[in-house]
Formats: sequence, structure tokens, C-alpha cells
Amino acid sequence: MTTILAIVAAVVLAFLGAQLYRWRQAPAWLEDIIFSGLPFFLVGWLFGPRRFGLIDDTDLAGLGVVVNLAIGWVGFLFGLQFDRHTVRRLPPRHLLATTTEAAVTLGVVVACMWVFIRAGDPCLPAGWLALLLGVVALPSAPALVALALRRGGDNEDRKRALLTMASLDGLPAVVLLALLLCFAPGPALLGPGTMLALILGLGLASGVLLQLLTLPRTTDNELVIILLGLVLFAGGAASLLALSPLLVNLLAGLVVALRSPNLNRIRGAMIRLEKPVFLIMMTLAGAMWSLPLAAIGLVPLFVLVRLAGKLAAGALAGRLLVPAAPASLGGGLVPHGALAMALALSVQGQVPRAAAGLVLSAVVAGMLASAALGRATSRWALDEEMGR
Amino acid sequence: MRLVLLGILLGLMATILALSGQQPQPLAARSALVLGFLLLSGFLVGELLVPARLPRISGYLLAGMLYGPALLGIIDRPVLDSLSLINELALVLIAYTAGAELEAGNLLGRLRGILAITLVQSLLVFLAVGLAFWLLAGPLGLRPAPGPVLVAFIALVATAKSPATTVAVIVEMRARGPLTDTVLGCTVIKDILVLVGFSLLMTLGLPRAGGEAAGVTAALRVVGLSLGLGLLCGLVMIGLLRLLRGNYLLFVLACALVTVHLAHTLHLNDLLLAVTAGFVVSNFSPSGGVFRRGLEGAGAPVFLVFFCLAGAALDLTRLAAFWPAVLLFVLVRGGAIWAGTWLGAAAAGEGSALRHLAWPGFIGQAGVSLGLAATVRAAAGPAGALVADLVVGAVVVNQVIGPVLFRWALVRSGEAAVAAEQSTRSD
Repeated sequence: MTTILAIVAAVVLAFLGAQLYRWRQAPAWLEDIIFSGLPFFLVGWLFGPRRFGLIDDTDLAGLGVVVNLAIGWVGFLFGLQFDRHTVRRLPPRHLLATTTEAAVTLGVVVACMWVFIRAGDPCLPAGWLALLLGVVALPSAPALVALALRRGGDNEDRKRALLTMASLDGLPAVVLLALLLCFAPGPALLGPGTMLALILGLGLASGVLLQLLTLPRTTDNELVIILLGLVLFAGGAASLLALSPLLVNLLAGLVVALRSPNLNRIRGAMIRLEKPVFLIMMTLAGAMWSLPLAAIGLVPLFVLVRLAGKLAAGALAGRLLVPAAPASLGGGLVPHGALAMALALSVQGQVPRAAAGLVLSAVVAGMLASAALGRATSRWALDEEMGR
Repeated sequence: MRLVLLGILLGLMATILALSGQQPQPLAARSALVLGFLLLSGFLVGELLVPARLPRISGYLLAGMLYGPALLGIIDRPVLDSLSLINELALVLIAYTAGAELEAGNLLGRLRGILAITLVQSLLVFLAVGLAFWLLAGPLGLRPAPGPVLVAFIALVATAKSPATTVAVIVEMRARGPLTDTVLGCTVIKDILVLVGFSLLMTLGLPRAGGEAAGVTAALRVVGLSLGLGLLCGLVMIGLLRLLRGNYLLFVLACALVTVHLAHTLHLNDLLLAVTAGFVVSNFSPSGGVFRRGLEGAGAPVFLVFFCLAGAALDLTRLAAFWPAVLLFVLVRGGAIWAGTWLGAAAAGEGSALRHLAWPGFIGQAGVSLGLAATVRAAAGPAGALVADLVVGAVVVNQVIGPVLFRWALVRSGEAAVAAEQSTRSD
């Protein structure tokens, strides 16, 4: 019976989803929610072990490979954006602004969440959890930011500043999470130094291997096989050694971006599969998701604190890039997306279940809030009159 | 270059496994590592075989066998089990491809030949292999000697073939033509015949395993329901495809997941269900081309993973233990397939190419035969285990030689577009 219900639900949801895409008069917030991939999260949750059970726990364990692939894909694509041309064109003040933005957001979220967690349940490891939440609060979603910027405002300097920060603020998040995993409390056979060296070695070796594999002429299908294999190999190796699959794949992507003569083909193939991989990731995240009791109060607080952190960080960092940046510039950095989800998924299984559930719930709430509010906050960031 | 890369990859893998040796190993991480390694090394082994004019899937199978539990042990049993869902999804995608490759017009035009070849060949193989093992099981040292029902089971397994192998070689060679259509058509009908035949044997003498329903009526119910539900799935997929704008790969993957689940929950035949659905979508919808493109998007990695895992699942020790009986099985089966195909094609008035070149399309054996062997192992005591081991050994040989022979036949018949392109380039 549950199977039939699930199938009926799938058909109805798919039908509604498709109709919504075609529905030209769809309200803006609904359009943003669809674009964020959250409906796939909902479908995953409905099909998952906690509702209809179309995907049961055994299936979910078997599909862990796919989750690993999705995390690696996001990391690899992130690394690919740093090609020589882009890196050369990146002025140091952009890096300074991004670092400032990341530091302020992290500081605000970690400090506030530490206080809230300690006040809510003194038994929880407040410092550790607050750091994890701070890390997943960092990345903005460049695709969503770009979409919001396309819709309004004509201040090109401000738009460029926002896009630069949105594209780069994921980097400290990925690095920080990798460090957190290296210094995680609990028994570990490898020391933090060894783990960091392994991350570096594995990332570089994977990048070089991909370059060598793509040196002979390959067809598009062969390139897809190589990319799938490499991302799984690097991500699987990282997870097996309790390292960050995101950072290992990011480094591999970075090597390819800086050195490969086939960069454009590789990037094209990665981007072609980006959307299916992201949507599968959202579906599986939905199937894995359960809201721990402790998270019920903390999740909305995280959303508010992140919003405050981004606004403060945007106001400070924006002034380093645009002389007359308004205080509301950080509103353009509110969108939360694929990288945050990949960060949240990469800690599943590496930290205690309740903490992992809280982090995932926080990211989902952040994505929902940014889908609902992102358009308004972006307009606020770009509107000269409102911003002052 | 590719050999060097394979060496580097193996070195990296060995280092990672050595480093992780003392860590608690999460299965999902190990499975991801193994799957990634399989994709890369399977690809390299497949490419290494291309200059020798061998099909890539032979390389994938060899890679799977090499890294499987029987030899290097990089893919162990827990990893194989954890990848079973990925494997089932791959099988369903291959079955969709098989259905999509079947063209209704061609199928109807060739129905006489398809039925004649399937029936004559199946009958001849069944009788020849059955008789050979009835007479020679004792002299070959099979102890305890299989009784009449188990001999009939060996003969029935001999009639089974691997639909996935057929489809993979056809797709790799981009083959089109009468031979391709006939072999594909026969493959689907053989699947039904084997299913019904096996259920008949279960009724006649094999004990029921795991409460599985037996009997011809039950088998016909499974066939009927699989075909019916496949038709329904196909119609639903056509409806959904009309609504979709993009995301076709995702759509195909979601459909495959639902198909696997339906087949499991309702105890239906996943191959028949998926072939029917693929056939319906491809032939009776304007979105058939879009569906095929979605399948092509997933095709290459799916074949690679499926055949690497199939290779890893083959137990090579069985081949060594039963080689005289395995040799008898392979030779008698091969001879009967050749004769049966020739006679069936001649009876249907088919041309010389079909009579002489269609038989290699029926040699490959894999999942269906291994599934039947596993059921008999569980159901028929020590004699059943012995017969299952023999079948596994024979599948190893047939799965290695089957794709090679079928590739040769497609090239000889002139239906392989890839071969034509290669010869044009070399000219």
C-alpha cells in the first residue's frame, strides 16, 4: 500500500512540479523555491524511510555512494572556477573583502549559536556544534545570487562585489570544515598533520591523474566515465580516511583548472551533469533527513543569526570593494545553496547523529529562508534609496 | 600510456587501502572508493582491448574478475552487496535500452524468424545439454550425481542468455539491421521461456526456496503482470515526458528506481517490466527520441559498472574445480546454439547472414543464469549446490567468450556502424 501511495505521490508531485514550471504567473517566492531544489528535498523526504519508505534504510546505505559522488562533484566544480585567467584577474582587495565577509559571518554565527546551544542544552558540545553551524552558514549560493542580481538594480560595481564574495566565500568554509574534521574530538589513528598532508596529497594526485587520463583524445561519454570515476575515487578515499571529500575534490579541481589543456571540455561535462547531481543530492538529503528534538528551537535561531551575520559582514566587507557601499549590501549574500548542502552532507557519518541532523536541518531552513526572502534582501542590497 | 596509468591507479589504490587498514571503514566510503576505482580502471582495461578488436565489455568483465573476491579482493563481498542497488538500477537501465532498441515495425516483420529461431534453438539446446549430462555426469565425476530434475535444470540454464551482454555489445558497436533486431527479439522471448520453464521445474521436483511461489500458473502470472505493468509504466512515462522540460537523465534514473522497487515489492521480473516500458516509450510516443537520449546519457558508465560488478561476482574457483563438466557444458551448448539457430533461421526462410552469423548473439550468459543457480543452490541440497557451482563455472566461460563472438558476428554481418567507421578511417 505504501508503495502505491508513494508512486501516486511521485506522479502527482512530478505533474505539479512540471505544471509549476510552465505556470507563467507563479508567484516569485514559489519560483525561487522551485529553483532552490527544495521540492526535490521534499520528494526525498516523502519517499524516504521516515514516510512512505520507497527508499528504505538499506537502499539509503546503498545510495551512500551517490551522496559521496554529489559532494565530490560540488567540490570539484568549486575548484574548477579558479582557472589561471580568473585567478590573475582577481584583485587582492576582493580576497580581502571575502576574507572579511567570511570572518565576520563566522564570528557572528559561532558566537550567537554557542550562547544559544549552551542556554538550551548544556550537555551538547556547544563549541564544536557552533563551529560546524558557523561553517555551513558561510557559503552564499552564487547561482541564486546571480539570478537575484539579474532581476534588479543597475549598480554594476555593487553587483560585481556581491558576485565575487558569493563565489569565493565557500572556500574558507570548505577549508575550515576540513580542519574541523582533522581536529575532531574522538579516537583517530592519524594525527592532524598527517591528515592535512593526506588531503593535499590526495587532491593533487587526483588532479594529476585526471589530467593524464584526459590527455589521449576522449569522447564525451568517456570523459563522463573518467570524471565520475575520479570524483568517486577521490571522495571515497577521503571519506575512508576520515578526511573531507569536499576539500580533496576541490584541490583536484584546482589542479585541473590551473594545469589542464582540456579545462573547457572538463568544465562543460561537469556543468552538464551539475543539475541532475544537485537534484539527486537534494532528494537523498531529504530521504536522510530527520529533525532532532534539540534542533527544533535552534534551527530558526540559526536562520536569524545567519541573516544578521551576512548583513553585518556584507556591510563591512562591501566597503572594502565599493566606496559607497550601503549598509544593506550583505542582503545580496543571503542565498544559501548547493555548497552548504554538500558541507552538511559531508559531516553525516563523521560526527554524532544528532549534530549531523541539526546541521542538515539548519542548512535546509537556511535554503528555505533564502528562497523566501532572497529576492527581497537582494532588492534591498541593490536599491540605492532603501539601502541608505 | 594506459598501462602505465593503470599501474599508477593500482598503486594509489593499494596505498589508500593500506593507510585505511587500521581505521574503522564506513561501507559507503569504501563502496564509493571501489566504484570510482572500477570506473577508472575498467575504462582503462576496456580501452586496452580495443586495438585487439575485442569489445570493451570484455575488458570491464576482466577488470571485475581481476579485482573481485576470487583474485585481488579489492571488491569484497560486503562492497558487492552494498552496490547491489546500483547494480539493479544499471540492469533496469540496460533493459530500458533493450526495449528502446526494439522497433515495433521491425519486430513484427521479423516475428516469424524470431519465433522459429527461439523455439528450435531452445529445444535443441535443452535436449542436447540434457542428454549430455544425463549420460556423462557420472563419468565426469559429478558426485552426488544430479537426478532427472537437476539435469533438466542444467539443460534449462543452457537455454538462458544474458540480455545485458547482447544490449551492451549492440550499443557499443552501434549495430542496426536484421541480425541485430532478430537477436534482440529472441532475447526477450527467451527470457520469458526460461522463466516459465524454471517455474515448471520447480513444480515438478525442486523444493520451494524461501517461500517463493512455484508453478506454471504462478510463472505465467509473473510474466503477464510484468508485461502489463511494464505497459502501464511505459504509458505513465509517456505522459510525464510530455510535461518535462529538460532533466531527462534524472527522469530516467527516477523511473529506474521506481521500476526496481515495483519489481521487488510485487515479485515481478524486472527485466521484462523494464524492457516492455522502454519498448512502449520508444515506439508509441513522440518523446521516444528524448527518452533514448536520456538513456544514452547514462549508458556508458552504466554498462561499465554493471559488467565490472558482474565480473567481480563470478566465482572463478568454480571454474577450476569443475573444468571437465564446464567444458562439456560450453561445447555442447555452443554447438546446439549454432545448429538450432541455423535450423530455425532456415525453417523461417531467413537469409544466409542470419543462418550463419546470428548464433554468437546467444552465447553470453550472466545474471539470469546466476540467479537461477542461486535458487537451485538454496533449494536442492548438496546435489543442487554442485549443479549451481557447475553453472557458475560455465557462466564464467560463456560470459568471456560471448561478447567477443557477438562483436565478431556484428562486424562480419556489416551491421556494426563502429566497425564501418574504423575501416573507413584506416582506409
